Amino acid sequence: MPDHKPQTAEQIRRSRNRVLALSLAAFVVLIFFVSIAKMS
Amino acid sequence: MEQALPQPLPLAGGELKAAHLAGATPMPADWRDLFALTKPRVMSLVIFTGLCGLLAAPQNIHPVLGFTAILCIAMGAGGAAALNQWWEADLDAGMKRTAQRPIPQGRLDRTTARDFAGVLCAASVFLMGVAISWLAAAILAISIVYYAVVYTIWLKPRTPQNIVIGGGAGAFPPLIGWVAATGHISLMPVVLFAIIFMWTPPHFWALALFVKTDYAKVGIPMMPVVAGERSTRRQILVYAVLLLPLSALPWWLPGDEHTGAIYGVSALVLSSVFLGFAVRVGLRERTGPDDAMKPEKQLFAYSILYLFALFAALVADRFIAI
Repeated sequence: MPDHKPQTAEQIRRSRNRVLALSLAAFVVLIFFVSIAKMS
Repeated sequence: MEQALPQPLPLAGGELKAAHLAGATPMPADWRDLFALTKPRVMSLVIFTGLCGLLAAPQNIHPVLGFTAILCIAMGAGGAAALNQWWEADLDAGMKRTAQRPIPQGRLDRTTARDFAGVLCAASVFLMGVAISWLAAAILAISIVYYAVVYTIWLKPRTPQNIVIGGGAGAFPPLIGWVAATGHISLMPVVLFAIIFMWTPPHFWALALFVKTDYAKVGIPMMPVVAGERSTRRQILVYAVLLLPLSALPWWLPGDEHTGAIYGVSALVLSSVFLGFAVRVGLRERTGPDDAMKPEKQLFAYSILYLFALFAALVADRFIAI
């Protein structure tokens, strides 16, 4: 449960988009390393 | 003794009685509320047992692939938990323990929750299939359907045996972890599945005994509500008795799969203590409305510690030779 909720819709959206961007970046990195691992 | 069930709130999956939302300007979903949908505390036990299944397997897996397998198990469990909260939002709103969840609180709308859950479930199965194996992916998909459909939608509102049969959903992670590492199903992961299956009823019914009022209020036919406390206490005892030899079974398995003494002795000690707590719950009666239900709370707390310790012993046994 969130302890410190952002005050405005804009702040919530920005925060969520940052998490989404980080998740997608992590997914790309994961797929890269999985490909390397499966080839080795 | 059979007791009349109170009328349930509107069927889960129906309209959420979130009157406080009427007229409010919808806010975008906060990522922390989406994260809360995945039931992180339950997920920690799922991740741990899945990891133990993976590590206890006789074949080693590449660390990156092992990490990916655990990530997929976590995503699948989180997606299934989110589906559960999407479906049960009405019921959650009526129980003190769950009323603070994001959907009943109106911090998250149902459509967003459902879509988030769907993406998590689909991504977890697809990634498991592509990166690890399609057998592991198939078992992961079955576990998600088992929890979200068989347990949440079908059994939970209909039968007091919901926990017994539905508990199988929580028993899948070590099986998936094992299959991810070895590529096949054998006797040991099935026994690990059976241990969690047998552990679930006493674990959950201990909780249901001291939150009985909440389940009764929303019409969920939990064992204490339908069959009464005395019957529930006896059944907790029966499952704890059966768990003792079952937990030690990996020590005596035929062939190369059996564990060593580290696991065997740990299982016997841990399960004997578990049985001791269960005996205290099984043979007592509620002293009155002010009963603090201390033995039930102790059994519930110990049951969590028990599962962590048992699976830790399984992994320790694999890596420590004596």
